[in-house]
Amino acid sequence: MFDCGMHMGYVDHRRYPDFSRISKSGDFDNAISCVIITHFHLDHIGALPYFTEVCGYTGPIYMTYPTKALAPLMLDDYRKVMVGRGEEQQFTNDNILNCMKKVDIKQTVQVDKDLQIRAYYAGHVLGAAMFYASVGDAAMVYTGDYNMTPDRHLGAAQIDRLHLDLLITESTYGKTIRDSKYAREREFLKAVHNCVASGGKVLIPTFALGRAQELCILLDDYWERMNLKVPIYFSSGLTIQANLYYKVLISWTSQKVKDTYATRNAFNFKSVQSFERSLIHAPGPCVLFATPGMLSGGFSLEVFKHWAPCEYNLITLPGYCVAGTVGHKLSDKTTKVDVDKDTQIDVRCKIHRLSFSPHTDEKGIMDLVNFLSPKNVILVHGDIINMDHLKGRIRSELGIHTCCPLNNETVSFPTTHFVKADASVKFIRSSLTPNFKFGKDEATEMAPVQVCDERVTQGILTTEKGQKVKILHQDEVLTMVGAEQTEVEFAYCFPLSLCSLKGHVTDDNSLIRIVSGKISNEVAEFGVPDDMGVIQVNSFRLAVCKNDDCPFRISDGSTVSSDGTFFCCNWSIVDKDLAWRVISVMKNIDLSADSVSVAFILMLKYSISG
Amino acid sequence: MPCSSSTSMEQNLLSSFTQTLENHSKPSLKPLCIARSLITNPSTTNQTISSIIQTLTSNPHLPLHHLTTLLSQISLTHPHFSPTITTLLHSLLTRPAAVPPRAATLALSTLVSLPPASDYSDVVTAEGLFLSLCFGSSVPVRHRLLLDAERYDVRPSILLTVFLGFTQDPYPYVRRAALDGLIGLCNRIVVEDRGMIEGCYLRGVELLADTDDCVRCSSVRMVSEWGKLLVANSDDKSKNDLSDALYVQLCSMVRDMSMNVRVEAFNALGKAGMVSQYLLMQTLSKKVLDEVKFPGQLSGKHFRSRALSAAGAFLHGLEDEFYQVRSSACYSLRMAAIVSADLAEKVVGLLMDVLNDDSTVVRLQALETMHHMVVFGNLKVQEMHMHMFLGTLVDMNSLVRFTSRKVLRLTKFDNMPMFKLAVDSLIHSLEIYPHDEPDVLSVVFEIGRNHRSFAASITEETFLEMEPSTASNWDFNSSKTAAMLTLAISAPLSHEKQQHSNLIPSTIFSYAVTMLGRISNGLTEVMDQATLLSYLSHCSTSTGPHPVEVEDDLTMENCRISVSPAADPLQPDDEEYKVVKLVLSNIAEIWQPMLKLGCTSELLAALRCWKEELTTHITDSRQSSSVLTFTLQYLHVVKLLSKAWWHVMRPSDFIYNEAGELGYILQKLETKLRGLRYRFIGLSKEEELHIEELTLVVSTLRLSTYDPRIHEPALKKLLNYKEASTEPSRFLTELKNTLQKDESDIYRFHKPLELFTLKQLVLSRDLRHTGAEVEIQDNDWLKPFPFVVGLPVGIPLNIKLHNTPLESKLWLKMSCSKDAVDYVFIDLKQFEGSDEIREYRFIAPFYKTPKVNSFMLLLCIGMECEDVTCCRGHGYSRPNHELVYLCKEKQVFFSMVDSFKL
Repeated sequence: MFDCGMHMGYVDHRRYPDFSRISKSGDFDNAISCVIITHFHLDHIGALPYFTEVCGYTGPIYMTYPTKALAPLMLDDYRKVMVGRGEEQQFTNDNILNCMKKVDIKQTVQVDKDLQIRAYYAGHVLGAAMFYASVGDAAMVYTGDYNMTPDRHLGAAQIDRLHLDLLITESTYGKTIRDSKYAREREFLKAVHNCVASGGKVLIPTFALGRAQELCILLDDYWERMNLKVPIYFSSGLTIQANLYYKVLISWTSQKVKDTYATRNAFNFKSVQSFERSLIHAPGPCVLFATPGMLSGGFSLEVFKHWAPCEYNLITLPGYCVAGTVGHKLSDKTTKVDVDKDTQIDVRCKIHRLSFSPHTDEKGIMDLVNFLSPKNVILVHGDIINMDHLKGRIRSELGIHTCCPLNNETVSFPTTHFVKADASVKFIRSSLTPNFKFGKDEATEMAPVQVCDERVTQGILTTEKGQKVKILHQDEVLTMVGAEQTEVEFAYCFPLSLCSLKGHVTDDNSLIRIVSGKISNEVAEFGVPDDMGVIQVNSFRLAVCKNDDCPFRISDGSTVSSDGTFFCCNWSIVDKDLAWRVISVMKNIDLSADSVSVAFILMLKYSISG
Repeated sequence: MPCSSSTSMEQNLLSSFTQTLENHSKPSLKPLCIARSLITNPSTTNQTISSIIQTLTSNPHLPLHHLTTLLSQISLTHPHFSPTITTLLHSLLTRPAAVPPRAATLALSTLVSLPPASDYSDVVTAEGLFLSLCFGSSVPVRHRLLLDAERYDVRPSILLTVFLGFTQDPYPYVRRAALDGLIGLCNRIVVEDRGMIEGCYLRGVELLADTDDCVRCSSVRMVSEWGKLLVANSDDKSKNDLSDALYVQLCSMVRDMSMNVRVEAFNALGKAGMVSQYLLMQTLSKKVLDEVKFPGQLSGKHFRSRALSAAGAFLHGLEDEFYQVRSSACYSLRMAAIVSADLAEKVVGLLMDVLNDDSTVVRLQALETMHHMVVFGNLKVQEMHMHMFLGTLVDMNSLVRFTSRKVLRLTKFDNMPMFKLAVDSLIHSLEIYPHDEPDVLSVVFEIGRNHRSFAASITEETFLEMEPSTASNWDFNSSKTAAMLTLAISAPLSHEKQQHSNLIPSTIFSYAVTMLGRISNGLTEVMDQATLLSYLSHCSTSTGPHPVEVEDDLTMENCRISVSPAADPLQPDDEEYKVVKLVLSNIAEIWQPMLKLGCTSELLAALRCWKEELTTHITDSRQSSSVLTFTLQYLHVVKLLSKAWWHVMRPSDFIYNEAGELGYILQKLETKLRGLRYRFIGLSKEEELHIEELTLVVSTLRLSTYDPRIHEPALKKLLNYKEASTEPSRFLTELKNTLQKDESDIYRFHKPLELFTLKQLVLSRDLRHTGAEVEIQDNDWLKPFPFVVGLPVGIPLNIKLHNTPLESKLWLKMSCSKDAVDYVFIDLKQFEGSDEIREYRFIAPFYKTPKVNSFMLLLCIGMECEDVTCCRGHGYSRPNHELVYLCKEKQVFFSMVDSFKL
C-alpha cells in the first residue's frame, strides 16, 4: 500500500480511507505486504496511526529517514490540534512511534519473496521519495509528490531510466505551466530589499518546515552578496528545531547545499538571529520569519497587528490561504481587517504575494513520463479536469495508455513476464563474438546505412512438450529437427554468336578470358578470371556449355546459329541482381546476339546439403 | 657509472631470477617481479637486460601475457633494445591464435609505438590483428582497442564501419568508446557518402535513449558533430529542416536525469549552427507558442511536436540544480541572443534573473553572455532589470564586479533616470570597494562619453552642490567627487559627433585638475596624465571647442569578444604566449602590405584590436607578465611607426604643414624604443637587433622631414651606428650607401625606407620587465611637506624595484620646473632583496627650493642606457647617459613653513 493519508476537508470518518476495501475481515497483515510512505505531509501519512492502532495493522511500514524523523512531529502536532478541538483522541503519541522501518535513497529492500522496493529522490519536501516496486518481472513507480525543478534547499526529482509497466504520478498542477522560478525570486528579493532599504520591517509568515528554509536561504545568500547588515529573525522554537533537522539531514538537500556543506552548513544562517518579543517595537529595519503561515493566530498574527499600520513595512503572504484566516482576508486588498471581534487593524503596509510551490507542473510531469516511458500511466492527486487534460496530452503526444481512476474504481494492466530459457553452447559462443551487419535500403540511392546485430537473429526459440524452452543457434536446428537443408539455385543456358571473335579464339579458356575481360569492363565486381574455364563471383558461375541436352537451355531453335557457343550459368538468390547484369552485358557483346529473343527459363535445382 | 656493489647486486638478482624461473614448474610471479625491478632500474647494464630477454624467451611455460608485459616495459626503459623486441613481438604475433587476446593487444600496442622494422612489416599487419582482436570475444580488449584505435594505423574507412558496428555492442563502455571514436573520426576524415553520414547520425540519435548515462553523454556529442556534417552535406532545400531537426534532438536531452548529459546537451546547443527563429523562441518559453506567430514555417502536427520538445529548454537549464548545467546554459544562450531583437529581449530578461544565482561561476557566465550581446549591439536593458543588473556592481566577488562593469561600459541607456541610477550605483560601489576606483572611473568616463547629454545634466545638478560658496559640506576628497568630475569631463569628449562646448561649466575642469592623479589613474587606457592635464587646463580657461585628440578611441566596432580569462583555467601563461605569438606574426604579415596600400587607418584599427585582445589577458594590472607588457609596448611602437610612416611617405605636398606633429610622434617613438631596449632584461640578440633596426628607421624618418633642427642628432646617431648584425638587411645596406653619398636631397632617404620590411619578432619567454614603485607617505595637496626657501628639503621615500641587476645605474629625477631639475643617484647596494625585487626607504634631498609659498615636485626614477652615447656633461651629480623612466611621475607637495603654520 502506497501512502496512508487523510482528507483534510472532513472531520468525520470520511477523512480516513475506506480500509475495508483492502480486507473485509480486517486481516490487513495478510492482505498487504507492507505500507510505503513517501513523505511526511498529512495527506500522505495522516491516517497511518489510525490504520495501525485502530484498525490493527501490524505489518512493516517503510519510509525514508527524514520522513521518519519528521513525521512524528507533524502527527503529534495534528493530534494536539484534534484534542484541542475537543475531539476524541484516536491514537497516542506512542502509537505514532511504533512500527516504522526506514529506507535510504536508491537502497533496494527485499520486502518479501517477490516484492522489491527502492526509493528515489523526489524533491518536494525534506525526505520525500518516489518508490520503485517490482513483483517478479512486473515493475512500477509511485511518485508521491515530487518537484522537477530544484529549490534553493532541495534538489529536483531524480530517477534512473527503468523498464516499467506502470507509473503512478501525482498531477496537482496538471494544467499549469510555470515560468522560471527566477522571476518569482527576483520579485520577492526586490520587494524585501526595497523595504529594508527604506527602513521598513518585513514580516514573513511561514510554516516551520520547507518554505521557511527555502526563503531564508534565498535571503541569507542575497544578504551576503549585497553586503546587507539588516538583521533577519526567526521567531518560534519550532523553526529553529526544524533547522536543526535540516542541518543533520544534509544529504537529502540540494546539490548546492551539499557542495558547500564541507565549508559551511547552509542552514547555519549567517545573518539570522532569534527574535525576542521586545524587538517588535525596536527601531530600524529587520526581517522576521514567524509561524503560522496564514496569519491564523499565534505569533505571526501578533506581530502583524503591530506592523501592519505602518506604510514602510511589508508583509508577504503564501500563495494559498484557507478561507477565514487573516491571510485570506488580506488577499482581497481590503485596508481594514478585523483581527478578532474587538480589534480592527488599518492595514497600510505593502503586501507581497509569494507563489513558490514544491509541486511539479504540467511540463515536469510530461518530462518525467517521457523519460521513464512506461507502458501505462495512472494519474492521481489532482482535480479531475486537470487530469483529463493531462491524460489527453500523454496519450496523443507520447502514445502511452493513461487513466485516472476515481475512488473505489479498479483498473488492471497487463504486466511483463519473462520466460526463462536454456541456451545451447553454440548459441552462447556465437553471442560472445560481435557480429554486426550493415544494411541499406536499395530502393533509394541516398538511404542511410543501417547497422544491426546479427547475434540475436541467429537464435531460434524452440519448445517441446514437457520441456523447458531452449534457444538454439540457427545451424543447430537442422540436426535437431532431423531435416535437410534446401537451397534454391537459378540456372540459365544461352547461346551467343561470336562471329566477331572468330580467329582469336583457340580454346574455351581463352574464350572465357575474352568474355570475362569484356564483362569486367562493365560490371565492377568482376576481377581477374582464373584459368579453369569458369568465371565465378560470389555464387555466380559461368562456363561454356558442351552438353547439347543441357536442361537449362532455351530451345527455340530457329534463331540459334550453328556456330553459336552456349554459356551455362547458375547462381543463388542473393546474387540475383549481379547475375542479370552479367547476362545482359554478355548479350550485348555481339550485336548479332540482339536478335535472340530473350526468354529466360528459371530452373529450380535442388541440392542437398550434408 | 654503476659501482661495483651495485653491479654485484645486479648479478645476484639476475641469477635468482633465472633460478626461480627454472625451478618453478608452474608460473609464479616472483621471478617476474625480480625481472621487473631490474628492468625499471635505469642503471641496469645492457648485458643483464639482454640475458633477461634471452631467459624470458627461452622459457616456454611463461604466460604470454607476462612475457609481453615485461618486453613492453623494456622497450620503454631501454629504447635501444627496441629492434630486438620488435622482432620478438612479431614472431609472437605470427601465430595469433595461440596468443591470448590480452597479451596480443599489449604486444600490438607496444609494436605500434616502436619504430617499424622494415623486414617484418609484411608479416603482421596492425590492421588485420586489430580487427581480429576487436571481433574476438574478450570485452576488455575490445574496449581498450576501440579507445585508442587511432594508434593502430587502420584505414579510416574501415575504422568508420568498425565504430558504427560497435555502437550496437551490448556493453555500454564499448558503445561509448565506439561513439567517441566516431566523434574523433568526424573531424579527421572526410566522409562523402551521404548514406553513411546519415546512418551514423541516426544511430547516434537512437543511442540518445540509451539506458546508460555515459553512452547518452557521448551520443549527445556524437549527434551534434555528425548532425552538423549531415547538414553540411545536404542540399540547400533540406538544410534548414535538418538543422532544425538536429536542434530539436539536442533540446530533447536537456531534461535528462544525468547531470553530465545535460551539460553536454547545452554545450552542443551552444555550438549549433543556424536554427529557425521559432525554435529558438520556443526554447525560451515553457508554454508552447502560438503557431500563427510564425507563418510559413511548419504546420500542424509537425510544428507542434517540434515545439514541444524544444519548449523551455533554456529555462530548464537556467534553473537546474547543478551549477555546471546552469553555467553551460548561460554560455549557450549566446547563440540565441544575437539572432534577433525579439530573442535578445527575452534572453536579457532571463539573464538578469540569473544574476541572482548563488553560484559565482553562473553569475559570471551570465555577465559574459551579456557582454557578448552588448558587443553585438543586442543588449537592451529595461527599467525592471536595473535593480538586478546594478546589484552586481556591489557583488562580493571582484570578478563579477569587473565583468559587470565591462558590460555597463558599452550599455546604452534610453532615459535619464536609468542613466542616473547606473551612475549612482557605480558611486555606491566605489564607496564600498574603494580599491576598484581606477576601473570604476574609467567606466564612468566611458558611459559619460556615450551619453553626453545625460552626463551633462547630472553634472549640472551636482555642480550646484559642489559650489564652494554655498555652505555645503561637500567632501572634495571623496570617491564620489572623483566619479562626478570624471563624468563631467567625459561629456565634451563624447562619441557623438556634434560638439556642444558650453555644456560643462569651466570651473568643473579646474576642480578636476585637483584630482588629476586619481582621475588619470583611471584613464590610463585612454590618455596619459600629461594629455589629461593639458585638456583640463585648456577647458578650464577657454570655452571654445576642445582640440584634444583622445588617443585610443574605443568605439563599438573595434570591440572584440574577449577571451575570458576564467574560461580557460589551464595554463594561462601558455594561452597568453600563444596569443602574443599570433599577434607578433600577424603584425609582420600585414604591416607592409597595408601601409603600401595606404590603409593606415585600417592598420591602426587592427593594432588597436590586438591591443585590446592582449589587455584582456592582463589579470592583475600590477603583475602582468613581462612578455605581455613587452608586446603591448611593441604594438604601441608599431602604431606610432605606422603613423610616422604615413606622414613621411605620403604625397609630398603636406609634409611641410605638419612637421610639428611628426616630430612629436618621432620623439615618442624614440622614447618608447628606448624603453623596449633597456627596460627588459633577457632580450636575445635577435630581439636587440630588431629594436636597433627600428631605431635606425626612426632616425631615417627624421632625416626625411623638412625640419632641419631634428636632422643633426639623427644623423649623428646613424653615423655612430656600428654594424652588429652579421647579415645586414637590405634596408641597412641601402642606408649605408645613401649615407656615403653626400647629397642634401631629403628624398634620398626614401629609397632605403622603401626597402624596409618589418620582420617577425620571435619573443623568448623569459623576459623580465624592469620597473619601480615610489611611495611618498603622508603627502598630498592637503598635507604638504614644510620647507624653508633656499634650504634643502628631505623627501621620505619608499622605493620598490623590480628586476634591476646590481650594475644598473638608477637616478631619482626631481623636477620643479623645466630648468630646476635635480638628480640623486640611487645606490642599489643599499637596497634589501634580490634582482627580482628590492626595497629601500631613504630621504632624498632636494636643494633648489624655489622662492615661492608652495610648489610641487615631480619625482621619477630613471635608468641610464649605457649604450647610448653621452649627450650631457660629465659629473657625479647628474647621469652620463640618457635615462629610461621606470615609473610614472609622482607628485610631492611642499608648502613654506610660515604659511604652513598659518
